[in-house]
Amino acid sequence: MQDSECITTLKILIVGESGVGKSSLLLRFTDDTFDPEQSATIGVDFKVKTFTVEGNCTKLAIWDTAGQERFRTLTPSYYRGGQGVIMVYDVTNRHTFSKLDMWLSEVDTYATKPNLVRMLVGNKIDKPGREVSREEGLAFARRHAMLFIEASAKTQDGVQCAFEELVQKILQTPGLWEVDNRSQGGGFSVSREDTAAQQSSCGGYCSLV
Amino acid sequence: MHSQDGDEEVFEIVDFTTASEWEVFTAAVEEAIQGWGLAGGGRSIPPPPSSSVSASSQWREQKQIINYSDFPFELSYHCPLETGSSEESSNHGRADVLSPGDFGEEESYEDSLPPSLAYIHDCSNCFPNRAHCVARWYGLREFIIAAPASSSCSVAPSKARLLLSALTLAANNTGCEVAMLVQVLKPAERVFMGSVTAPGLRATLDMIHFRCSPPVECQDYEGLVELISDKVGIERLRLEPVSSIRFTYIINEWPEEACWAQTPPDLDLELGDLGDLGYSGLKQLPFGLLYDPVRELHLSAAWPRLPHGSFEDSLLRFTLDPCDAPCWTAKVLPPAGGVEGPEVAGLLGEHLMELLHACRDERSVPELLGSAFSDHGAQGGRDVSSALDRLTEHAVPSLGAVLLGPHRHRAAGNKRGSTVQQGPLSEEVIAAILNFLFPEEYSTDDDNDSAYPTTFARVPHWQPHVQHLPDEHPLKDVCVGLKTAPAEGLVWRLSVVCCHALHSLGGLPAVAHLLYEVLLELRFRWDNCLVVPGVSPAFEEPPPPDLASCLLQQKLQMLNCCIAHRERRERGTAAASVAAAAAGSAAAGSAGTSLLGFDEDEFFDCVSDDDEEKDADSSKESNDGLMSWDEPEGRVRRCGELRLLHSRRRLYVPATQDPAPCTEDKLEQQAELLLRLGDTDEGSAMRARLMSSSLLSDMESFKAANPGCVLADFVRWYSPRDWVPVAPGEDLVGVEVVDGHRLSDRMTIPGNLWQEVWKGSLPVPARRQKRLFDDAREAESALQWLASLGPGALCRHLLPVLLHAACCRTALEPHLYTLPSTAVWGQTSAYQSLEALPPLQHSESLPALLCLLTQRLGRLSRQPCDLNKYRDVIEQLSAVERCLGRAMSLRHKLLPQEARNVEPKQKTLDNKRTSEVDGSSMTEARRPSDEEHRKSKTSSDEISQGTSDVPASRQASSEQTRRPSRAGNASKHSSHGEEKFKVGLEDSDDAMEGVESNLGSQFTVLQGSDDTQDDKDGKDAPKDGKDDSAVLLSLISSLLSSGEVDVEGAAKGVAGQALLRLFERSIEEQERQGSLPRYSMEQRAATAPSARRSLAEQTRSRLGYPGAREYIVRVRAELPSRTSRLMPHRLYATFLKGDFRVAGLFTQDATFS
Ligand SMILES: Nc1nc2c(ncn2[C@@H]2O[C@H](COP(=O)(O)OP(=O)(O)O)[C@@H](O)[C@H]2O)c(=O)[nH]1
Ligand SMILES: [Mg+2]
Repeated sequence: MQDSECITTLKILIVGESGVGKSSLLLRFTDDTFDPEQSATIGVDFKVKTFTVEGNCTKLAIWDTAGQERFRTLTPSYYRGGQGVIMVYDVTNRHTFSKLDMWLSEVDTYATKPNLVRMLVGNKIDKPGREVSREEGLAFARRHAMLFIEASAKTQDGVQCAFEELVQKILQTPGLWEVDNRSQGGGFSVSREDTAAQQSSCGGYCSLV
Repeated sequence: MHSQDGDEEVFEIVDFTTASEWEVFTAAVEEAIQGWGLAGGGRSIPPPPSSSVSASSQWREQKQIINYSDFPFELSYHCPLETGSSEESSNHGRADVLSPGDFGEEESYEDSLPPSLAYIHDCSNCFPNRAHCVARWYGLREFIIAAPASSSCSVAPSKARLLLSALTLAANNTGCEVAMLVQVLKPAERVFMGSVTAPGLRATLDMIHFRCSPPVECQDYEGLVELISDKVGIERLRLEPVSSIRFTYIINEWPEEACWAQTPPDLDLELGDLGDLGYSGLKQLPFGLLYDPVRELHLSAAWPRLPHGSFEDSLLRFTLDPCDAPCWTAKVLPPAGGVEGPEVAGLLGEHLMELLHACRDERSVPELLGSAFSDHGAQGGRDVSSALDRLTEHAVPSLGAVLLGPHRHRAAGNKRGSTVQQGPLSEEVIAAILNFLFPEEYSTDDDNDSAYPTTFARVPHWQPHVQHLPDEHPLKDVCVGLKTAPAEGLVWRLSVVCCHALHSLGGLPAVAHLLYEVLLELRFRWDNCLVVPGVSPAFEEPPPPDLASCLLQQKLQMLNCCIAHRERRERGTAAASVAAAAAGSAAAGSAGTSLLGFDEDEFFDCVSDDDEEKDADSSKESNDGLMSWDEPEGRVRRCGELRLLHSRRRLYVPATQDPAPCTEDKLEQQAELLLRLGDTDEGSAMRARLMSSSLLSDMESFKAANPGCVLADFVRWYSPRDWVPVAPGEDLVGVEVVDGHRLSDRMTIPGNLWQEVWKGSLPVPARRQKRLFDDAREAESALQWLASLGPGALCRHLLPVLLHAACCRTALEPHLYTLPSTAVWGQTSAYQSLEALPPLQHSESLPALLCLLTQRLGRLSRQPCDLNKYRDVIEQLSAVERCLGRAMSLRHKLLPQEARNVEPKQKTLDNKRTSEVDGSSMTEARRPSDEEHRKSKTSSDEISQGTSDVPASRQASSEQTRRPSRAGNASKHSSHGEEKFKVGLEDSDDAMEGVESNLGSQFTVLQGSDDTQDDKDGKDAPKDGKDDSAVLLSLISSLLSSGEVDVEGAAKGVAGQALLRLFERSIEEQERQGSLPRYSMEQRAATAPSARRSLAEQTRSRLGYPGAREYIVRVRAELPSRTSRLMPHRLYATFLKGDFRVAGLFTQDATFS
């Protein structure tokens, strides 16, 4: 599909501890494959995919980040302008779940869109040895007003659905993606419509001007 | 001028040459009627609020543009919103709707009235405060107006008739019973004519408007009755009209002592006084209004229902006294007209607007000031040594740089200033400003109050002990989200100073000059390795740019990083050479102080760590006798209990190069670059390579610190989650397993980048690595960025910071905490529609509103700069400022002197407090015991001296109030002359410190009440705790909140009395000045009404002359002929100075036509 048909380009971030399967989720979504041989992300990487939700074609630029401590100082800059963020944890590793608060505050600090859509994804549900229950994930998402889904990059459960939901939610959030397009030319005009409107409907004082 | 015509020809003027356009227009109107669901009758409309004569309904508007030929008209439908409370929807139960019985007739016409006309004879709500003028003049509750879409067009009466015929036809065709009107002449004249068609009925609406005095024959009620009788063509005596009358009295010249305004900050004066650095005016944002924000006070006395003959209002005789009117309403007007004209800004709003306008300027500094002020000039002034610095990494630190304090620099600056062309700011001003922006950190002078705070937050230091102010900064939480700069830091100060420069020191050229000087200072600081103050906490390592702050702040942080880096680099070189000679013993201590920073560790390797290691693993390792190539370098600390897999020695966290500090624009460029590599595998690989430089650096540092390590060791520190436990039954061929763990699959893939980089890395401690951060280049780039800013661009960068400062400035206003938020925009606000703010609850306070504003600012500050949206924020802040100003002014005008100036400490009754402690309830505590009362009475004697000249009239009216009246409790309270104030509502400037602002601590002031009866009264009065002052404060609050306020108890209530006093003071003042003839009330009362007196003399009351008179005359008459049913008719008239308007609504029985 061509760019010109797309109504908008959305920037989406994937964050979370290293090894929770961020890159695998992205690969599953963009190429519908699972590569156990995928190497650990260095710094940041990204993939582009055009994606149609309810007839709206959108171009997604999805930024994948490395979760390692040492890379963390590097990544906040890529949060800028993101309209959606996917926070991933590994349901078979509680530590990755307990780090979510830290990731959340990182996103809150550096994201520039105040109402960006946040989604929580519990990954690797195919794997035995679950340590974080679905209820816990749900509770966290509810507490922080996030979308929530459990998924597996390996078996592709929930992956497509996660991205779909996220994009749909972004498109439904007014001001999140339209603003960009409109404010381009929005500049320095001084005139305002409302003054005219105010004149026409007459306030309580008009009889005694 | 349009005047009334016969209504018969309305349908006849159908110009067939324009027929097609006319038809098109008619069809479009019909469509609109259908679209709005107004076709056919039978809909009901919410009744007007019966609570008061001036109460307003909320109105709903629907609009549509319809062209007549090429001429656009706006068709708008107006109707009241359904209110939540289920008031009786039928008019039958309403006492104030005139029923035929009121006219002494039995026959009913009501059934035939369409809803739009149902209330034309309603007396209960005859002067609504806020309503479309059509609703007020014709008494309509539902109507459609066609008006030219552009307010500059005017519609000739003939054209208007044509339009009206189209509207009427459309209404007929669709069975629409809504009143149809056309706006005639210029929109500003507000002349409307129209018609209503309903089954069996036709009504015409017409209007006369003169911009001059009315003709003599209709100057008063008698004249109007004459007019309406002529119109309906029946004998006047048969009419028995029922009227509503309202007189409005206006104060527009305040007696001097009632006038309120603050004195402007005199910057010139302050700057002229530089001897003791008295330029404090520059340091703060100004706040408040220079002009009395209450231009006019309107007091309306209304008689909603006056049967004919119950009064006289004519040239000959006049019997209506406003002090007897049953309803009083009051409102205040801001200066320069308009409901809330944004043009009247306070000092703060004005300053902010000026900066906003400056943001639009695109000129550069040299363009504004001449080429002498180009950046080259600045560069030429730099040391040669700094140029050298950029070439060599290890310059010898110049002692001169350290010694050359700001003093010398400023002196040099002054000299330069005299040789270079003079800028718009004088040397003194520049010096004062620079001293404020770059205070001398080392100075311990007492008079140096410009030093920056030692810690920074997003809100300034808060002093909760000031009266009314909450314990914590009210914006503490919301300011965190602002992408601005630390409160009271350099950028913050710069924004404030620029604001003053724009407003008072010479406009944009002054800002340009300032920018130029600031840039010189910054260059000087870089050249001499002096950290820029006010950017981050002093005495701490300059942090990397904080991406959560604005770009300007980031650039300054970047500059400081460069300066600190360079300083360390130069000092390090010097120290290293010293250390080489002196075995580095002194250096070890300094390394211990900073384990986190990398640079210092670079040079002073962890001698102490080695010792520690020896202590900890004293057994074998210390005896290893490591050779020099294997000597560990650049260790910071042990990594927990981890040991190297092969040698089993401790694993050390190496000193690493921090990732180069970076500002967001640079980061964006980098991201852009990465993006351009594309979405391919090669692109991904390329990206990984680009980003692996920091990985490489870290690996080399790690290798240097941990001789004999392997990749798995590195991974265990760097990416511990890739060191995974071995699953039972796993295929472990060729996999190295230690302690049941192994490297993750993705790390063991042959040829993956981690392995590759590991193989290619050498053990090099961070200090000997190629520097990832080039301070000279980065500093130059930051300075260049600043130099590229024109003053307009600078203002754009400062705007969010300035607004941040403005919000915090507003939070310092004590009155912010005493007023409801509705005081800002009113309850039925025209502003609400343009607000992006969520609707406020009535109960919400102004601080809550300020928080919302700040939050909105936070959102804006993170988005690309949109000046229009910032403009909204400024207007909202201005509205708050004006509101506070109005509140101050009204308090000044309405609260009695004592209430404003009383010193609470002396008046607080100790025994009252004790009685509270004893457990009596709060309301009871408010009622003083007899003993207390006596006590306070004695004490009040001194206090009330100042007001012993209370007009006799007031005493008299106090007498009146004793009689039971609608004023109820409030007036009773006033009668025993007691005024108690809640400290929590008091003026801040009234020396209230030291009194806890809890509700319980009250004080009592007596106003010379004289008899014991008062005590009795006091006891009998209901214990509602509402005293005079509370009544007045609530009057003030509602005057601010709603357009028009009911004055409880009219002239007899507490509020009414206060207003009356104000009017009397104003009249006295005018009499003194001779602008009003002297005229005593006694005289008026004494003189028998006589024909000799002029109308003016007759209408004068204790409130002066009415500035406006409004009359509504309601009659019933058989129209069009004596055989028709009795139909309702309504005439409305206003008499203003030089403006006279009559609006008539006449219904005709169309049953047989
Ligand atoms: N069983 C299972 N393994 C997964 C899943 N997603 C990722 N992994 C594995 O987890 C490891 C880390 O995945 P990766 O995508 O590189 O994580 P990232 O560091 O968050 O990007 C890899 O070995 C993946 O094969 C999943 O859904 N199920
Ligand atoms: Mg990854």
